Amino acid sequence: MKPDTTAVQERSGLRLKIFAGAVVLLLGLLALQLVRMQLLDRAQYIDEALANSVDQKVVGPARGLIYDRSGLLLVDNEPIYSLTLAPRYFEREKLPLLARLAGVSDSLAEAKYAEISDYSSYKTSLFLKDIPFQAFARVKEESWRLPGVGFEIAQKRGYHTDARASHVLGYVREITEGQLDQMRQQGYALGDIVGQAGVEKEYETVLRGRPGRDFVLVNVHGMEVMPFEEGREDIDPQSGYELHLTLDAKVQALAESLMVNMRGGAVALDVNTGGIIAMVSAPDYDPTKFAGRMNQEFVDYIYRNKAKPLFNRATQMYQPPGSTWKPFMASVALEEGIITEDTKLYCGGGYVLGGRLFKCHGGAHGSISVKEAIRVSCNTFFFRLMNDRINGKRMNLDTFSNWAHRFGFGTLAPLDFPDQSPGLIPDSSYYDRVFPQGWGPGYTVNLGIGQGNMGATPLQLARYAAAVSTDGKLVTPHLVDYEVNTETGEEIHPRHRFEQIPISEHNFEIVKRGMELVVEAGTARRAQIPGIAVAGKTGTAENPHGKDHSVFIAYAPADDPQIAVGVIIENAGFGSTAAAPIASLMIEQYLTGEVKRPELVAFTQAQRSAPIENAIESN
Amino acid sequence: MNRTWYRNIDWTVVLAWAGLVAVGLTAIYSATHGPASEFLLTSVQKNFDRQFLWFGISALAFAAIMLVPARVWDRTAYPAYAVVIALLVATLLFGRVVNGARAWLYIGPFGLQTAELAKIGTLLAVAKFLASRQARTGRLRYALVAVGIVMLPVVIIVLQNETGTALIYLAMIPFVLFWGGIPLSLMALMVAPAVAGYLAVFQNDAAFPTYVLIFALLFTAAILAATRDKWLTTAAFLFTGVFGMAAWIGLTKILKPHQVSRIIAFTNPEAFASTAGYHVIQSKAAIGSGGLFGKGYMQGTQTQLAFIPEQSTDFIFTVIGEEFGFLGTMTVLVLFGYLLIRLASLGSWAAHTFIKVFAAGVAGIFLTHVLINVGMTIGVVPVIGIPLPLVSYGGSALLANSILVAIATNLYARRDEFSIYRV
Repeated sequence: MKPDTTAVQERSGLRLKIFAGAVVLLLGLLALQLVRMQLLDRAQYIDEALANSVDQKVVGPARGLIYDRSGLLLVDNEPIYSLTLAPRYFEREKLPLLARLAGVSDSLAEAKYAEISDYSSYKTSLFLKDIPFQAFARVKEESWRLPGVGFEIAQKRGYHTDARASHVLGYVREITEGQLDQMRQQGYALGDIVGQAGVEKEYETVLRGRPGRDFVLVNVHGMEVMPFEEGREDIDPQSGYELHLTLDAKVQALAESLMVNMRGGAVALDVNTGGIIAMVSAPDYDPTKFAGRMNQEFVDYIYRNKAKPLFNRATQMYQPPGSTWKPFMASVALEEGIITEDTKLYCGGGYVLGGRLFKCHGGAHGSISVKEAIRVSCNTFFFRLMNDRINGKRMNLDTFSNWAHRFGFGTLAPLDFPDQSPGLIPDSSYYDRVFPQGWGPGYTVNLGIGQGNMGATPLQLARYAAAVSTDGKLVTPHLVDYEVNTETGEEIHPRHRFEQIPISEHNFEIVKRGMELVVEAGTARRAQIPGIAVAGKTGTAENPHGKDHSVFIAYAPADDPQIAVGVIIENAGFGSTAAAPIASLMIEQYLTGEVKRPELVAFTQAQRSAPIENAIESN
Repeated sequence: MNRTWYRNIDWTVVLAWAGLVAVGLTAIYSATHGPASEFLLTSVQKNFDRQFLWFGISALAFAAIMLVPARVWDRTAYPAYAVVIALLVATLLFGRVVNGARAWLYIGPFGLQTAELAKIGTLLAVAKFLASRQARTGRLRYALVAVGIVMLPVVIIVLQNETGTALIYLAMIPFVLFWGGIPLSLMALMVAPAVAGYLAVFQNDAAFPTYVLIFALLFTAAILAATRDKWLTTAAFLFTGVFGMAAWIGLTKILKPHQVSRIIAFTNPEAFASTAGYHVIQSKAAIGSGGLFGKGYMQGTQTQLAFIPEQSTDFIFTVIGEEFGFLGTMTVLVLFGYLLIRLASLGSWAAHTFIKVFAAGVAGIFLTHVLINVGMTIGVVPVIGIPLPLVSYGGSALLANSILVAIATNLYARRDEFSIYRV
């Protein structure tokens, strides 16, 4: 039977139409969904794709540079070269090659590799930190055959002068967990470098700058692949401000070299501005050793040495000022009207109080005026000022205390610096507290010669010397002269107030003359500088526990004061032997730009603090 | 008419074939040679080179097939079927397990996915059977034999654990029967369970029974109106209502939660972001973010940052969507649309049932591939691991699909060689 050809063809035509219709309909449905996704809802999918692949990377800003008062670079940033590794993409058999190029032993490379692989095979981890540039460059040249190896350049602080100034500059170190808890709000993250002491700490916010953001594309494993939008969206980091210190690196370095074998503090101030010219605390430390992992020797030195190298003796250590206190006593007694320039008090070699003899040194001074008493450092004269009723007036302990505070003692200086001690200036309530069974003049008479229950820091002594030199201008000590915004070049000069000590110029003149005599023809002749008139006062703080402390204050030039210095050297004996030459040499360096007395330098360097027994604690 | 066969070659089909292969190679190159490449396994990095080699082999095969007299296909159909069944069985016994499926037969260094090649033999056999005198009586039992011819490889392939590919074979059935001359109402009856099943999965919630019921009633009513046959009407209701309910009960009551989640993840990928829906979210983000013009060649972030798994194989469409945008995806869909309709038309014009069924079978296989593969990348079909024909990486598949197109082209070009033309 013959098939109906037309019927077959008609049927075929119909079925072809049905099939074609089905194809168009079904592919059309796919197309509709594609219209919706690619044309209508595109934005949403772009967000999703970006959320997937765009990662933010914080770019640390360059930490601000630090200069000394003459523009000498003290601290800058040096690169640390490190290698990273993503084990998943690294070919393990190339480990010996990598070790050879990086200049490390195979065993170290193996160990690091094992450590990293255990942590994560996909994530990029730090492989070798702080390798020499040559090694870094060698590996980089061969990077094409070392897939999975990454290169990281971070920064560490670099120090560039002979002046360590460790207690001034402080040091930086990775943020601690405790600090992170407090500072997370300011955008700090784990691994950030933070100032831990000194200027680095106090000026952290200024030095740090503003971190930038790099947007990078990461793949499904979180690995960075390339910049997003070729870096157009990146936010550049803003470098920290430059700090220009009042510090004179040469004076600082000189003082440090003089105090190598000593424990003590020395501070030099610009008498007119309060700018700190030098601030030395001995022993000091090498701030670079705080970077990265500290070696055990350094850890022992820093944390276990009884000399406490981290302790800033220039601002935190206080000792009785000894005879350097006498210009203060003289100024106050003159202003209070207890004595005048011409009042003469008798020294018979000592002062008897309550059946006890308080000895004067150097025998009996006879009847002397205040100027002479300062020159020869007569104790009896100042015991009398402290205790006797003279001209119908008598120094009261609280008057003493009030004046001492006006001179900046017993209180914290308004200083741009984290660590300082207020020292100790007693008043009657202090004595009531310390001696609840009762106290009398025998307890306080020693205060007249700067001994007993009182203490001052080298910084306070320098500030006091500066105040005397300027007839009572009590300056605000500071380290930072001005800050520079590195982006705009704008300079920010902080204003520093000073307080006027209410003592007449005339009275200060008397005291100043006495201090000039001390150096000209008194106890501090060693402090003389050829061609420069120096005024000063020695002190020897009695120490019931060991050798006396050597103390000295000075300013110069006497007729036009520029610099004032306060020095305390622990357990080094007389003020004239250790402290005075240090101050004198610092002044010479500052005023003349050089030191022309090598024999005095040698003499001073031969002085030393009596050593502490068992300096390294066993625990 | 005795025109020379090569004058009858439909070059538009050849062009569409070449266009799709070119798009595929371009996308595979991007997925394996762009910035992403360094993060890929070395073996994956070589995908482009290998695919290019397979393209060469396929092109040679295409050309060679053109030289084959048309009756050869007709005569070798059953032997070819026997050979592919043997290959499938051999694979099941000696094959290598890759990704959990024992689907690869290695002949020396050459790995063959026999299930891909078996399409050719199966389709030839079905076409020959449906073109035979008995089958053209239109009786239902001959249709069942045709179904049996397809089901034999399906069973073996399921045993190989290649369910995705088995699905393609199943999808072959309605197309070949459709062109083999089965009544349209019966045809609708066969497609209905698929629709009901899709609804069951897509509306896997409380409202589900309502949707399936509405569909079942409408469909049953339509069949009744068209055929006035109570048996067909009953079957229609069973195929839709009962099948749909069974699927729903299976999903909600019988299958384990993780199995269900894999099936239904595509309907709500966000809820399965880290598990089953991950592929879909990433691939939708890739395609959607491509926009009209795409992000540019080798510039797709999703592609180049390896967020999409299986980028050069099953998810190749995402590369096209992301880097060439809507224009790229439309190009692919239009090329496929043209190729499918053209193949079906050639078969229809040739008017010989063998040619007609074979060409339609090829179109049907491709259509199912495209619907499932593109559908899964844009989240309208569950993620089933089957490639985009001619485009995805995969040598055996490229060769097999090229041969299918080539034979269809050859049959049409040499249609005059069938002595019982117009039978």
